[in-house]
Amino acid sequence: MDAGTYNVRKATCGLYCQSCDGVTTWSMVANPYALTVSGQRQQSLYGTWNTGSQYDYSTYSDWSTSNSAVATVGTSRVTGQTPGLASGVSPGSANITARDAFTNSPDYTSNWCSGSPWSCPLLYGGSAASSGTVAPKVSITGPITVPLLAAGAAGRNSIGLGATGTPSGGTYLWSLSSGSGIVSLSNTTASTVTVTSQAVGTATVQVKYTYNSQNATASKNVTVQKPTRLSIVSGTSVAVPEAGCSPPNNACGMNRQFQYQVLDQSGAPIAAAGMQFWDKIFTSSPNTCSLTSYSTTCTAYGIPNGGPCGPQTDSSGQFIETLTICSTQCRSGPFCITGCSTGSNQTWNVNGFSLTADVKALSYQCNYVYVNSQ
Amino acid sequence: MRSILLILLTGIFSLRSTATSGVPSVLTVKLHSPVSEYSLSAATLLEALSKIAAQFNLRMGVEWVGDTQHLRTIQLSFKNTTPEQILSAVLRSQAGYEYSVQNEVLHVCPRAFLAGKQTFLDIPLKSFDVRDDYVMRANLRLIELVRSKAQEMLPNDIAAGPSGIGGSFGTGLGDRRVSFRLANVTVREVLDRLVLSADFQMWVVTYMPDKGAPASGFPWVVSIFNWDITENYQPIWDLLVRGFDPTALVYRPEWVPDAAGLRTTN
Repeated sequence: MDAGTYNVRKATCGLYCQSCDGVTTWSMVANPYALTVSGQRQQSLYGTWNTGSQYDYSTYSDWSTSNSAVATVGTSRVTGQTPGLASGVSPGSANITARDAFTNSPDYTSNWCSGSPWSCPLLYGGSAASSGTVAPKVSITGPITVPLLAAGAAGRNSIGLGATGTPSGGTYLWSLSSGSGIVSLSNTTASTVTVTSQAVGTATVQVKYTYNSQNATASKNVTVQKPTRLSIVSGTSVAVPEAGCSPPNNACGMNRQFQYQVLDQSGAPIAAAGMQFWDKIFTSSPNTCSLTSYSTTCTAYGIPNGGPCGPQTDSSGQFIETLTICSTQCRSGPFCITGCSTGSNQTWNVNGFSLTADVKALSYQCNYVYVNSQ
Repeated sequence: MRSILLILLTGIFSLRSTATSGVPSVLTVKLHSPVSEYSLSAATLLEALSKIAAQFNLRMGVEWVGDTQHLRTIQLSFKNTTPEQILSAVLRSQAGYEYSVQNEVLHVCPRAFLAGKQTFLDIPLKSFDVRDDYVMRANLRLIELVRSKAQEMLPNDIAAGPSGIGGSFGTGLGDRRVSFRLANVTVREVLDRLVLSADFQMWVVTYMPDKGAPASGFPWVVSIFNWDITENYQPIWDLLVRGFDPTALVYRPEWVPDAAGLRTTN
């Protein structure tokens, strides 16, 4: 580092007097400083010359801390350390000092006089300090979306957010900084809060962590997603012929299977395990396959023709759908043929919401089941 | 002396386990693992068992009586205990229940209620094959098979002559494609295999004595998802994933200590 030039500004015969340019003030940035536990910040030592110029002396300075249990700082005297890099250790207060005691930092000297010549610089060195605190820190982990559940329906409508305060042993307090009508919170004094959806929108969940009367806060945005549409996950469609399927009256047919992704109001995937789904199928026309009934294994509760409705979406917000046809019209002697077709409509319900925009037009045929012509 | 030791060992390992060579089964080890503190609050026996199963990752086959006369809430706290002791305390709080371990599945059974009664779970099956199919679909095939065995009739939706049936089937959390072949087994053993084959935690048979008795003579059963199952749909049972709340009928990942590790069906 070259901080400046030493300039003899005045000399007279006999009595030698001179002025040397140099540092007039030392300062540290930041002062005061603020750190969190395990957090770091680069402190800088600046010298301001009488000329008005300011230079950074951090690299070649000696750095020290008044309380290494609270904060440490790297110094040029130790190989591998970054001079001035302060690190929070535990909550509390500590002063950080930097001293430039060596070269390149002359003090400003005005009208120094003696009987013999003397060259600038005349004095070196200086120091500055900053006071500061190390605060506890807290971070939030967990999903950023939560599915909406229709009133009175069963299904998933909550998520858990976890907070980790450092150092451990403090207390937690959760609150909403925005979106009080969007979500509600429960278990607000535990490290994990339950966030329950109420309406579509985005809310900001905040946690305050208190350790030894010092606070740290963190916040996270949570978006409530309403199940609105279904999309078929690319590459998941499988079709398998089923000869001799039930009913066994010389019937055969097709089994088509694929995976649905539940989408929200904006078309974004809802990645939530536990959303309940069910469907209903209604015959339209034609019905040359002579389908006399539909067996939906997951219909709304209490529907006589339905079995139990238990399936839930996996953690990707997806589920597997299988559509089957089994018809005597698909069989001719020992062979399965492709001669019939039955039109149907399938309606979906996810988390209690009827996906009215997502009525699927089914076409049952002996060799395939088409969903919206696909 | 030897007989005293035998009696003591019999007392300690009272579970019927299929473990051989003196090596305790994985389930037996889980049942005897130490638990420093545990609190349990549940509206029903089934909810209590679901929580225990989720917490300690125990595969269960539960037969329980679900009518209001038999429903009792459970509030228990434990210190320095084991899952087995917790389970014993829960069952002691309900009249007439027993448990045993078979096929790495913990069976809970209302012994007093079933005294002298045959159940469809004991129906012998010559074989049951699953080939690269989802467990829930295999379970539906088993239901159809057992209905035909139990009632010697299927719900006859199909008229004579040209006919057919279409349908849909949904499955998701916990399910996966499996293949296995079982021969000379009971329905109970097939159900054990189904819950062990994917990420299901328990099979549940809910007896409902106040509904009367089906023509098959077996006790009337319902689904926890549909308590109004008609005779045409007897018998029925449920497969539940780990962390499923059988009272509120919702998935509760907070019941599962390692919920993040729950596999998906992708």
